[in-house]
Amino acid sequence: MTERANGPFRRPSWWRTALTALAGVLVAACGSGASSGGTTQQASGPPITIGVLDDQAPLTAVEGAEMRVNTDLAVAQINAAGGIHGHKVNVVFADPQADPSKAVTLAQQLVQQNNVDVLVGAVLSSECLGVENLVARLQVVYVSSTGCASEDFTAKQCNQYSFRITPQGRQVNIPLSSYIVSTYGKKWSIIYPDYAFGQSQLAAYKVGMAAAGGELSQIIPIPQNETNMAPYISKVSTDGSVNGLINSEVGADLVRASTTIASFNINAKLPIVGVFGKERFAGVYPDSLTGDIGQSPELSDPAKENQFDAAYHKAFTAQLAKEDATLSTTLGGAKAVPGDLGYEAYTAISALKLAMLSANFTGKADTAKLITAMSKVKAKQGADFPGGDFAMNASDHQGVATTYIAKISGQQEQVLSTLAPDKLSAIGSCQAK
Amino acid sequence: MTARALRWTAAVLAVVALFAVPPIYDHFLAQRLSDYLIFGLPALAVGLIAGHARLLNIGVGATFGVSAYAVAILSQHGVLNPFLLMLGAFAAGLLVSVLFAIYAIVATGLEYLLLTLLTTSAFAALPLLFAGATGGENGLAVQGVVHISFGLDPLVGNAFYWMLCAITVFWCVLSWYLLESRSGRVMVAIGRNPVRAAAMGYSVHAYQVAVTLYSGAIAACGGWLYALDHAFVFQDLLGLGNSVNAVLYSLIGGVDTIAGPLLGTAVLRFLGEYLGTTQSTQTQLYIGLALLVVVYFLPAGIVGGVRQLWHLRVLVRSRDRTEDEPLGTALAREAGLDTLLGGADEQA
Repeated sequence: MTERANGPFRRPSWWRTALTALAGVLVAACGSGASSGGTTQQASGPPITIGVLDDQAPLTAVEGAEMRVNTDLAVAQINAAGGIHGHKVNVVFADPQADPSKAVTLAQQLVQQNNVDVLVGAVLSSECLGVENLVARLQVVYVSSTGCASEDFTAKQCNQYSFRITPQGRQVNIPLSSYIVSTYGKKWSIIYPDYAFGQSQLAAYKVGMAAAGGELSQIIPIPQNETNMAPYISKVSTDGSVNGLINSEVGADLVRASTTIASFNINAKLPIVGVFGKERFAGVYPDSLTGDIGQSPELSDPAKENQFDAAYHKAFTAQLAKEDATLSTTLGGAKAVPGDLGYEAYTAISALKLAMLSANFTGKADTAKLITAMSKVKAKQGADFPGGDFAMNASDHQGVATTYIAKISGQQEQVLSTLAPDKLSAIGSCQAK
Repeated sequence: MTARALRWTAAVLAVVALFAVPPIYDHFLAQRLSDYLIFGLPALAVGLIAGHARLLNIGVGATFGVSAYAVAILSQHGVLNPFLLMLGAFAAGLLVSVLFAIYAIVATGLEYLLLTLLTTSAFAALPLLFAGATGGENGLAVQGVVHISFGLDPLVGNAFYWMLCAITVFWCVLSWYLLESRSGRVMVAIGRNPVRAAAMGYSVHAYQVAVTLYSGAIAACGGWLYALDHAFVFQDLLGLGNSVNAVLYSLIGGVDTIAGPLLGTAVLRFLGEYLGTTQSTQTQLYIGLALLVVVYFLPAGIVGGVRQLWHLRVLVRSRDRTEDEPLGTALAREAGLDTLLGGADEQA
């Protein structure tokens, strides 16, 4: 793991010492004559390079586009503020094309050939679990970004090099289940896509319901890519025997399911819990989602009283205008929002920034210090975490953040409940060693 | 120097370069080539079974994936003996190949192709059916990577790469030897015209079973090596995508050659990695365009195209000495158009 230190970009140690001394003199000079507030340091040290596995396959188009724009935004903001203690941050993007094999190969290439100091990204669970397995052998810090929703990442396969910022799995399902059970009642119906993802959702909701004292009294599996949802949706009880419906369909199936739910007028009779976030719909919710309840650490539109989130959304729009036109089109052009998916990427870099600053990180040689700092990252709502507070769990390297339970009403999102980070449970008992 | 001596010299130089140049040039080049060699093995299997034996098998990826999963599952259950894992991977791969061999006996042509295709689709669902053992959609990590690789760390040094080179050269030489042998020629003859071969007294099914098992062993070897190198297996390894990739690698390199599938694998995988790291929004579009260009201009693949050019060069040179055949006819014969146009004799 000394390749970076011996690589062509690393200056000799005497140069760093001289540079540090010079920087110290300059900082002292500034401090004596000017206000310390708002000063920005000029990035001048050797750059820190972040390798980002950003999938641009059709299957992950939205996630890939959000990851790209938000990573670029976060890094541009770091560099505009003087970098990491004077070290500019560079990003090398690589596209695994939603292929776990390529993700592992490219991760290895980024570390061993491109000499990146930190790895970020990989959308699919199978990709990020493969990369997580690799980084323990490469001994480089890896932070998952947009996607990577598998509980296993921090519940079973955790290691000291891997971190996840966004709450996932039962961290989300248990508080959401508690809310809907206490608000609407104990008996729920669920429709889910009948393949691995849907089955894992079903299992997570069973755990959540059990923890909340509720139950899934009607379970309706729907085959993936089913074009005729009517036979399945029509089974949903609306006679008062259930208190609500959980819709865990995704993608095109979600649109078809919610349209069918609306056509049967079920959403007028029962509360619906479903997918949340305008970014999944090119910035505009379909009418059929009105009434849906969801949970997310970031709202699609910033709350008026949240100046940090308003600034983040504004910066996102400005960054999107600088990006490739295809990314803008994918995200809905002028209607594009960062949403939950973009927020995951933005906060992954924010957490890295805070840890790098705290650890005086200068490159891969400081990996041990970075791991310690990442394990302790804690931040109040602000420019780095505009959605709310954040804290990293030091034992399994799974983050917790303020999350919102909200209801979709046309294009508006009405916040029903705000959960502080300490209200989110741990995913498992994995020890990141 | 005769053409045969030239071919041998080129082959020996290529093998020496494969072993020596990458580690000297750059450590990561050896690791990148490791990936190409591993995926080159199922492509070589496709070349043998489809290019030479003319059995249009789309199921090579299933054999590859089952072997890789066998290593991962066994390692998760505490089996860390490298020889046992190797045997387990080969046994699992050959079990799948037996299924394809039965298809070769009971079906031909399109029916055979569809059977292999549907079987591969079915295999892709296995990890989800047995999610407890296979990790389901999340995939499964391989335990004890360095130990099960005979103590050779795929991420450090060149020893693992050299082992891969030796294994690949072994399969290439053995395949070449078999193709050059009488049995190999019979197999090719059966591929071209099974009815005529059967009329000559050859057991068509026996040869088809043999080539299916042999190519299955090569694909299984690829799966075993993949599990050692990547230390992680996932559902897509079993799916149609992996199988189709092996077919594409083989077609692009030259399906009826030994080196072609390996070269095609290197070219296509390099292209994907290069585009993936230099720009990251249109990778698949550029790869698709590159494939179209190669298929249009080099229908026999890269190695096949080079071979045709070489033959044309020899032909043109020989015409300088003897002009008993019109150039157009000779070129058509070399391009394989003479039969289509009514035969060389008639044209002349």
